[in-house]
Amino acid sequence: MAEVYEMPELAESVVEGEVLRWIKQEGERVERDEPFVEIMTEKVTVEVPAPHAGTLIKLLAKEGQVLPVGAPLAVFGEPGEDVEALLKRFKPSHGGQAAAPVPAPAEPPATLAAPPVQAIVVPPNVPAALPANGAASPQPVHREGRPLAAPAIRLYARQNDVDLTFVEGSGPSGRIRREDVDRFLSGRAGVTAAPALAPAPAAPAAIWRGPNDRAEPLKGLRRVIAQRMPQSKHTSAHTLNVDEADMTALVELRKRLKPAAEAQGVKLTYLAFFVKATVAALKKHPYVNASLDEAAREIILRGDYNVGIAVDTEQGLTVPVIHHTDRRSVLDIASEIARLAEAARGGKLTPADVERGTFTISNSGSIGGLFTAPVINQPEVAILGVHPIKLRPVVREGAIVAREMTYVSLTYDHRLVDGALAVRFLSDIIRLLESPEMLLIEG
Amino acid sequence: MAEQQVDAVVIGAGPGGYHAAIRLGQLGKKVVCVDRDAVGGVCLNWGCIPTKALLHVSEVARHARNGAEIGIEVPQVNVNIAGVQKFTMDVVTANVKGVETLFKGNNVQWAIGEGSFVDKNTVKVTKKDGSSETYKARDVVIATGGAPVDVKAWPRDGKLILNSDDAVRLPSVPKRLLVIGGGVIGLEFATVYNRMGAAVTVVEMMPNLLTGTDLEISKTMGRILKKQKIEVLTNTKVEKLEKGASTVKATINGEGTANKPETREYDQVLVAVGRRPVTDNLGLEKAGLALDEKGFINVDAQRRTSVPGIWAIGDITGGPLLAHKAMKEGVVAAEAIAGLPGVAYDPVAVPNCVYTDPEIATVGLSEEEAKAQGYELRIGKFPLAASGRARSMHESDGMIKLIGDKKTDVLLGMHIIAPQAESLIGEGVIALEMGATLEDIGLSIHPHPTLTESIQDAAEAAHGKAIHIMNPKPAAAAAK
Repeated sequence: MAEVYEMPELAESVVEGEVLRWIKQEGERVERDEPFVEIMTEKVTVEVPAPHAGTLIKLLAKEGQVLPVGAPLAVFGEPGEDVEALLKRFKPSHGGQAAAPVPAPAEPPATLAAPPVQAIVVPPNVPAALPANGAASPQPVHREGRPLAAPAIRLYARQNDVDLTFVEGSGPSGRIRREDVDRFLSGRAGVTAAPALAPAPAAPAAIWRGPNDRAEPLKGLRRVIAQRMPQSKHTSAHTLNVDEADMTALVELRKRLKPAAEAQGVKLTYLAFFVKATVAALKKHPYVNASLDEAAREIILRGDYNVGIAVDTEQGLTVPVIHHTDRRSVLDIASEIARLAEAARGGKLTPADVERGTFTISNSGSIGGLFTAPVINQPEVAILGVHPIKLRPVVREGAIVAREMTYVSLTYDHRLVDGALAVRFLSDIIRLLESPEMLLIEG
Repeated sequence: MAEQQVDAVVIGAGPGGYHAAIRLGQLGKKVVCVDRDAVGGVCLNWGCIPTKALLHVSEVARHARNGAEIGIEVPQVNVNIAGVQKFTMDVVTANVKGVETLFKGNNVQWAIGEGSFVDKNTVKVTKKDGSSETYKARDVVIATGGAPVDVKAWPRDGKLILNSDDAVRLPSVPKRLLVIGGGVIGLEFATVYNRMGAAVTVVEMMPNLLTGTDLEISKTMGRILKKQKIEVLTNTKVEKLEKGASTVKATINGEGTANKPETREYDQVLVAVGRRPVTDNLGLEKAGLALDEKGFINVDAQRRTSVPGIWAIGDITGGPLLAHKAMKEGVVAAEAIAGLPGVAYDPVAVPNCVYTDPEIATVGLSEEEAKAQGYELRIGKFPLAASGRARSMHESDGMIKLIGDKKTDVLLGMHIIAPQAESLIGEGVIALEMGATLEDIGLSIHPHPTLTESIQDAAEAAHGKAIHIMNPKPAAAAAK
């Protein structure tokens, strides 16, 4: 007996998933618990195991296609079973979530991306920090009849797997324009509560293409980053504070402790000390370890100190989280960083690894540069930039001397964090880095 | 037997087939186009192009004959049918040569012969001399088109009982012509031969001419034809045809003969009761392809059949049996074969032209269709008699009718009876595809003095603010 397999809810408050790769193809047999499809969600990429043994008789989504949780994804059964009749009868079992309509098998359901309307924008790797009550996902707009769109827009929609009956047109008489499709694609189509107050942005100028250029599809993690970064810039009042830190004492301390750490199988990194110093500063300045819920007119002060570490992977940037850093030793933190970084690069992060961050550190120290202005990882309110440590000439007691120097930068959300607080917060981190023995007391 | 490996074979070189072949060539595919006949298919050789040449010739004859009405006196108008045929064939030849040149320029191989499937990836081309060659290809596009429907009781003899292929190449103008079928083809030949001097009777079984056309347009055309002395008998049947030595006796019965059988004598009878898809001798079963119950091949939006690698376009896929529909399908199939993303055959509407005098051109929903689909309508009409340009052309029969959705003002259909309606309808096609409203059309400046400005007037009339006619109810103006 054939059955429809729906897009699973792979993590808490995940509303949609992108089909990254069909591990098994249509017509192939799968054993129970054998991975058959790779799904990327806002949070993680998961190889989804088959619910039971059977044949994958119909794939209902293309690779790169985004489906809401509960939308039909594939049909399991035995070859020759009537898929169309089954799909006609199909009712999504998943309550509450927007489900795709029954697709015509020839043309699977298009992107239905309609992320939850939440006061706090959910970044690729961080859950909505608030309970999801009252943040129900909106039903996608679905109109009867012919969507009003010019032939070129209809072609564009097909090229991007968009079913225009789900796209709200911002043109006269509801005509669908290119930017409506773009907005839909970027997952913001659901936010249409007040079109009059939020006029459609001007159409982006067409991007020129030369004969020597090559186009690649925007998908997976890169698509999510491309969507989330401007959202973050648009949400927060990004402001930058940069200072320098004398790391000479810490360099020496690390040199001394390294063999002891190695004896326990841990590579003691500077980053672990940065995390420890940051947590101490966060404890002192709770408004930096916070989120702003504008819709509820509330400031959420975090009770946990979960520090995300931006990790560069082949697919793009991802941010696993070290939970409860306040309860961990430097050694423990270093070992957790190593585990998370390896999992991130191997695509093996679990939902738990990326959830519930409260602050993020972006480390470009091993790569280079003077300093950066990192983008805030929503819904947090600040992000620390960590940079290379180098011998630089500085003045100590009236003389120029060479010291192990570094720059630390803090991008903070000026909606919640004022300049004075940002400077104090950063100064506290620097003070702890410059006198690492203080970490014994404050860390 | 020569065998050749190519990327794609297109069976049929009609408008659909040659579009597919040329587009495949443009996309760098090694393509061979097969046809038993000349390049261009029915459209270039037997249909669109030669009939339009004949229509032009017959229109010149009419203008010459009626010249005195506008101060040009032509003492005597003689139709030299040999001259007419030469002109028609010259037009056909020039067009066929043009397509052949495009084949060469786009590296399309051209094979003359009967194409048939050996298996789903192999097509055998049998030439007239019995020799054959075989092509193997990953993709095969079937574009074998259509042919006139024969009525078994009245077999075509090409002399007394004709089909449209004969009527295009007629060696003389009959004195009395009976046209069975009041559809597009029947009315076009009725117009041609009427203007060349024949007495024409059109018999149509259905209550109205051009079944499926907006009723008001079809009725208006019926009146215009009658004014031109074409006898139109609707709700009427031809019950019997008796061939004599040089004439045919036809027994006609129905509303047109006061429901009494009437026997009349004609010099020739044109049977124009419709067209059918041609898939005979194709060996579809060897490719594993089946026809639906109406004889059509079912396809998806990219014109893929149920057999992977086999595509079908044009008349054999059903829908309106029109060259421009086939052309679009040909391009879509070629681009889908080449793997271009997003291509699909998805017109909002396919325009349709009838080369009567004046012409009819329509696109989108008729008033009846729109009502049946549950729309509340906003209709704008403009009679050609109110057009300065029409008057200056000494043509005032006709109308423009726009059908809009009352709720959204979006255009649903455009229906035109006018000289040059064939060209005027382009505006309706664009408007429908772009989702234009009647207001959009009314607000757009149309050039003066032209026939197209009457479309603007019709759109304004829908909102009760046309300038060149009295608007029915001033109160209606408040609607918008």
